[in-house]
Amino acid sequence: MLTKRIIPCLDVKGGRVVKGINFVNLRDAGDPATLALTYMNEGADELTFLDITASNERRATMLEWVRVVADAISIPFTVGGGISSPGDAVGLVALGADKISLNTAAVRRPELITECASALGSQAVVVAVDVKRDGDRRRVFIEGGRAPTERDGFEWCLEAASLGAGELLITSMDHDGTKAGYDVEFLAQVSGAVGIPAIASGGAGTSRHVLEAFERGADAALLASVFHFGEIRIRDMKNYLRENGVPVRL
Amino acid sequence: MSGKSNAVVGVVNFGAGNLGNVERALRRLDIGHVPLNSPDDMRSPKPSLLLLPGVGAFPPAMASLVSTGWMETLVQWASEGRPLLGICLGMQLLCTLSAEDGETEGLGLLEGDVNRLSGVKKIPHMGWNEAIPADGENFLADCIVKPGQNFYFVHSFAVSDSPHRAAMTTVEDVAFCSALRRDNVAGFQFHPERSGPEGVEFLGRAIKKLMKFYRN
Repeated sequence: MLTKRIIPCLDVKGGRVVKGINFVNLRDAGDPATLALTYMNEGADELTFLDITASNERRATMLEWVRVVADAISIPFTVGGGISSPGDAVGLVALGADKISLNTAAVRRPELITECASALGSQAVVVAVDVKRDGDRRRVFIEGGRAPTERDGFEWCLEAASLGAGELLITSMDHDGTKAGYDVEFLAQVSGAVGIPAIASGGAGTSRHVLEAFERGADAALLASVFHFGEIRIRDMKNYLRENGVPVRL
Repeated sequence: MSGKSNAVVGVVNFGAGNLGNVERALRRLDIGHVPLNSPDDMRSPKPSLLLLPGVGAFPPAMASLVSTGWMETLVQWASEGRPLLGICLGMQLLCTLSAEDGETEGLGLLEGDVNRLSGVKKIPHMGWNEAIPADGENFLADCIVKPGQNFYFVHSFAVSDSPHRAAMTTVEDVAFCSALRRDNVAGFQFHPERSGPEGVEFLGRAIKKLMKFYRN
């Protein structure tokens, strides 16, 4: 039986992880490879890295840390942040990333999704969709959530899937940072309509929130601070999920 | 004569797939390996086992195997009884044919047709799943590191059944062959090299087991 995935997310700036793990004593809590290895050993099913370095410096540092992470771990990882051409995407996969995550550039030029899927296969192309509630609908935001667009979140998810995305990473900006739970309504709507896996992101504060996302159709859950600060350990979360009937890898 | 320490795994590079993470796994296992960019690279050092990785679509990958001369080399290698292991698309290429984007013949070293996973709501089948050893085939059971071990899968096409099935996996009630083996030729639909330290160890055991078919 296919298990539901738990995915810690790490932000990288200038080759260093910001808000690094602080639940274990690490010699270097900002080193991407050390943190990746720690999470792999904690039972993470995959990892996601988001490079938030300013674009003019990003490329150089990204090429270095992605290779080092690939050398350190033997579970799949996704890299996102400023990828705007199939060349960027192919370069990151060649360094060892399993998947790349597209966001702003794909909204601006949706064919990018198809181009990356042709070059790497759909399985390597994640489309990250940042949404904010707008009445009953969800509006798509870009540029790290700073810029609103005219796009409807649900429509964009369907379009991204039809253009060749292999997976959707759906972040609710209303819920992000609240620790009050995911936007399960929207997750259920998208998950029931697209024929590709959907990752829940934004708002998880407890294992129960993750359970709710899975019960509403999410295939994986992305979490950041609750893991980084040691509020929940991955193993404990997975035990809770298994006790509640969710298939997980232990 | 045989044994892990003596193995030199030739990693076939035919232009479809990312060799890096397979090579990283072999490095972790301390298994000697050499990237093979063309069949000519097999002269020295002579590999003892060939590993065929691969990601992407079946038809261009098969076309590439033909145009680079790898098709003939792999068929010859296998027919001499030498060890050959395919991973993911590499496993599918060893099979009879694929229905991905039309019908394309494979290498025909393992019996089985590759079809789109039908009846599955979400494709690709992506994530960790179990591989249940098939009846009468010890290959998987002997390599598995711990009971209930999960492996990382990411694919949209699969072999639904084969006389050479070594393990079966189920997704949303749809069963497919997650491992195939016919004597010296084996394949995994999952990625042992991305299945954590236990997956890497599993790969090492599989290579060691196949090495009993090693010959000079």
